Amino acid sequence: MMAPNLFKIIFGLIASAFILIVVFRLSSSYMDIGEVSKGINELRGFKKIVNDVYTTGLVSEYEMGSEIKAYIPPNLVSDKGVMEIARIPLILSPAKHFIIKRGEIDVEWWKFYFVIAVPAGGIIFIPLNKTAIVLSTIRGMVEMLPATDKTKGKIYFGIGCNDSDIFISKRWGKEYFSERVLPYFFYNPEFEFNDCLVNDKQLAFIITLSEEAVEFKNKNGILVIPETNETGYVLTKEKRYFYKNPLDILAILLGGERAYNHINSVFFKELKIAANFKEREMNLLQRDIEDEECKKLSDEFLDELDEIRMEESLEEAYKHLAHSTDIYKYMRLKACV
Amino acid sequence: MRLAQTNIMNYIILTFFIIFALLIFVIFMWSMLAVQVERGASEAKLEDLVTTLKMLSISPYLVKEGYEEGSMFVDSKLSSVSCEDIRKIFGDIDVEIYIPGNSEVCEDENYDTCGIWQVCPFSEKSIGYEVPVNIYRINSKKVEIGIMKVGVHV
Repeated sequence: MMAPNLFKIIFGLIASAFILIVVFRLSSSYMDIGEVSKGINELRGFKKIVNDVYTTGLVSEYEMGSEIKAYIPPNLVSDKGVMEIARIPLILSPAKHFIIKRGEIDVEWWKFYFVIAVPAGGIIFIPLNKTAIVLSTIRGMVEMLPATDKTKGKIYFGIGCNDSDIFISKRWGKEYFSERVLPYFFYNPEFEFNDCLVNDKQLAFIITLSEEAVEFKNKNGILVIPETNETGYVLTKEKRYFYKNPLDILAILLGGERAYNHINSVFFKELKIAANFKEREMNLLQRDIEDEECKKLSDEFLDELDEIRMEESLEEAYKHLAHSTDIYKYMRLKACV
Repeated sequence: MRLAQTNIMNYIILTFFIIFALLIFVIFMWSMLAVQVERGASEAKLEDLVTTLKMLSISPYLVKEGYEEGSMFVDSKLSSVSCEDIRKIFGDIDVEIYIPGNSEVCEDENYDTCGIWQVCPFSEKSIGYEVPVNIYRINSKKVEIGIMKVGVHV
């Protein structure tokens, strides 16, 4: 009688061990799947917010459990996985907490929409020259960034350095900084700015501005060298880039060379398509134009669109774009369009 | 002896039944997960389509200047877009815009009176959504109600 009972005990132990191993393996797989699933859901949520911001133009905020490490177009990359965001031009700086805004480049006859996702934090400007061009360049950059009066995370601004003093406040949002703080410091002869090393870890970005190429101290940030109100160069610790609008500066600041190349490539592709569409539209509408001056302007405008379509380089296309914008503005003034 | 053997066999069979039931449960759970993943993929595709529809509604290629909130298309712009270029920007989609009651297909010559813009014509295998839109007639300066259909191939 001992033998059957012994057999039952041993067999029972083996069966229990097998069941326990299976249950344990299942639950740890499920936990891993759960973790990855949570991460993917967060990325999906981020993608939805980006889509909503692009289509509505409203500023939004998004906080994640895991960090988005990079945006390698068209993929968002985090610890938990990868999510594709196709079709929407996006500039992003790695973070967990984002303020997301739709920006636009308006060339009168066309608009280019894009989305920027900026981490909450402080942004310091170090203007080494107090000139109208530097002031205009700072304002252009601030204008592109989101207003955070209604969000939990804040993007705030500051200016420096006066010897080693930096002036910054969490209450200096986009509008207040642009309309009150900047004029106060720029037009006040008491303040002259010099370069200094800024060590505040709460700061998201440091932007030095100078009308000449100089050695700048905050190598983790960028040096902006404006040549006109719209164009100039950006220096990072590795390389020099030409910028033609504040979007280029922000792309380098937030996402580096990859973001700069990506946004320019998308912009160029869409610009050519827009020029193609507009040329066809103007050819349709030209039939009904009777005014001689309007006809002449329309022909000039069509020539510029043709140049834009045929150009291989964005820099050259941009010159024709600037001219086409001026012509179209004038056509509007003359009620030709 | 026979009784002991029968008892052991009962025991073994019972144990196997329990293990079998456990395995069925595991297979069931994995199947549920696979169905959930597949459903998630379909939902994601439909969500993408809705996003594309919204993007088209506000697209500067189609929308009248000053109407950034969207859904005010211009007849001359609708007649100027090409399917190839639209697909370069918005992906592999079908797009048609039509004015109910107007069966004139749009060509270059009749852009200001026609009512059907087959930007990327729908095929039998396409499924999609329809939304109402406004269409501004640039010559008569009147606004007509239209429908935009956006779809994908299945």
